[in-house]
Amino acid sequence: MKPIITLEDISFKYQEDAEKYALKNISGSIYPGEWIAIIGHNGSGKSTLAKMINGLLLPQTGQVSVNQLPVNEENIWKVRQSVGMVFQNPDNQFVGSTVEDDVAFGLENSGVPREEMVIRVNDALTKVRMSDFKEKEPARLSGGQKQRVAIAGVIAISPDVIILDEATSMLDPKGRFEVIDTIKQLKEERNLTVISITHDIDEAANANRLFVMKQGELIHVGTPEEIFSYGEQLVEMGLDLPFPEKLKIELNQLGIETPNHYLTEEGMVEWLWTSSLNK
Amino acid sequence: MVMDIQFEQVGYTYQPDTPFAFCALKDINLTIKEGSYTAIVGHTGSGKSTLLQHLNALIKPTAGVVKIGDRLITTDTPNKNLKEVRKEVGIVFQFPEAQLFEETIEKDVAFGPKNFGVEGEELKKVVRDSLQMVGLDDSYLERSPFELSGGQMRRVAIAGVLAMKPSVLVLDEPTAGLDPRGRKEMMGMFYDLHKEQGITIVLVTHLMDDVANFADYVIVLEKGQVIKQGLPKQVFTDTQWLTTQQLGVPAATTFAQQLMARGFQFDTIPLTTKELAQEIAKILRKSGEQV
Repeated sequence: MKPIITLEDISFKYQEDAEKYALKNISGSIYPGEWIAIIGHNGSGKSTLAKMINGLLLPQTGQVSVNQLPVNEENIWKVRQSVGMVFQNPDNQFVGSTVEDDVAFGLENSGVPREEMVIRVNDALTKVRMSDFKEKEPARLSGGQKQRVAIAGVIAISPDVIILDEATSMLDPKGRFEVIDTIKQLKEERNLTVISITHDIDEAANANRLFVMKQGELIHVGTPEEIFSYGEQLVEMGLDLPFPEKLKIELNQLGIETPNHYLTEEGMVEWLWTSSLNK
Repeated sequence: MVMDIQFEQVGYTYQPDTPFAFCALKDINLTIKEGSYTAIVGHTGSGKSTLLQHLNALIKPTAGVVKIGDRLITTDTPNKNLKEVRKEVGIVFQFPEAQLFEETIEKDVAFGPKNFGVEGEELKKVVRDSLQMVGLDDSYLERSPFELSGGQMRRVAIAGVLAMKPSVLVLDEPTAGLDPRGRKEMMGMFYDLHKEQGITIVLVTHLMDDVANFADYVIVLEKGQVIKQGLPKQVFTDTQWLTTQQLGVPAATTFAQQLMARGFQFDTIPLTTKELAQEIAKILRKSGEQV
């Protein structure tokens, strides 16, 4: 399978004469239908990397390709047709005065005829379960609803890739669940490639692979199981510890030895149950 | 003076006597005790923010009485002379970093106390002390608040509230949008202020782990009414109720339930990871003795 996104040795500085690289020698591939979570501390380069993928920023050296198309000024509009982005703050990304106007905005810009536009807006709003709200003012929605409308705006353009830049970090638990659930469904139905930048361990656990960024460099790539087995180092990677890891630390402090490898919650329950029987 | 805050049959209606009238709070009775760490939980739209604004008379009840220390606030309370109340109860709103406006951090933190008449050396000291409380040293004084990271900007905004030396600190989702490490540091900082300076904390949050780890009293709001209040132990015992209310359950409690489903038996339901580990340790040691 050909990758949908390739990063070839990209480097970037916000100011050409700055000493610090925002991104340094990043290489990697992302395949169609994959869910990639990019994790790392604030300032590690996660958002900068995301902006490289839809051409909001261009690298000073190296090459980003989307669908085998180099991301440059010439191809930028084609690239943005295939890569949509949802940002962190639900209040900063509305342009329309009603929900349906807002979803239609991207389509208007791409010159989609009105008849088709109506169909695609309705379809996108149904997909995110917001059809009942299409004539409402965005300001009257909850945070989770706003983010779902933002996702509908992206989906209406039928992109191959959706980037979520901490799109759930300002939401309450219910809103967070709604958004992630919506993305999961869309991914299944449309073979969407998902790139989510996140600090949320549960969101990261949904990914096929995690990219770990540190000071502009890609320091680890691995499955959630592989990355979560770093234990306490996860905090340095900008994630919280999975609950079983937190429990292991507390148990160790009480003098109880625990397995070194990563255990899921089910795995931890089984291990504790077996130990309680075998001792 | 005892700085308890008491609500007696408090109601609040937005735009009363108009077609847009909306009843945000109804028949609220509660007490926030001096020196307590009280958590207020509830869904978006449950009335948390409206209740919060009553705590320092930013809005006045349309029914009932709010007692802040020895001041009584009712519908008819004039807006004059509320300064003292506002000084005693400091509110840190959501995303407070959006309210920074001065060109230096020193000026920004000084803005509040200056309005309350503090000046000269005393003002300088209060600004330094407040910044120190949030973990920022003197090197920050002359810097612009706008060149800091999000987490640091939030600390500056909180220092601006602490500079008024409030005895009650109200926090509206203070860690929203921070990364896990920032969240942990921020919650630790509030707990230290609570323990070391004896500041009463009122925490509005969606994070049940924070409630379990820090609060000594919980108030649950739903559709403008208090539907439950009590010690965290009491409120979290009925996990099924919490789940049907979609309020979430502390991670340790959820995990303990999975263990119980597998056959574990706990004397008391653990709310924090520490408590859970202690309970498990007890069980493992006991089963060790039996062999």
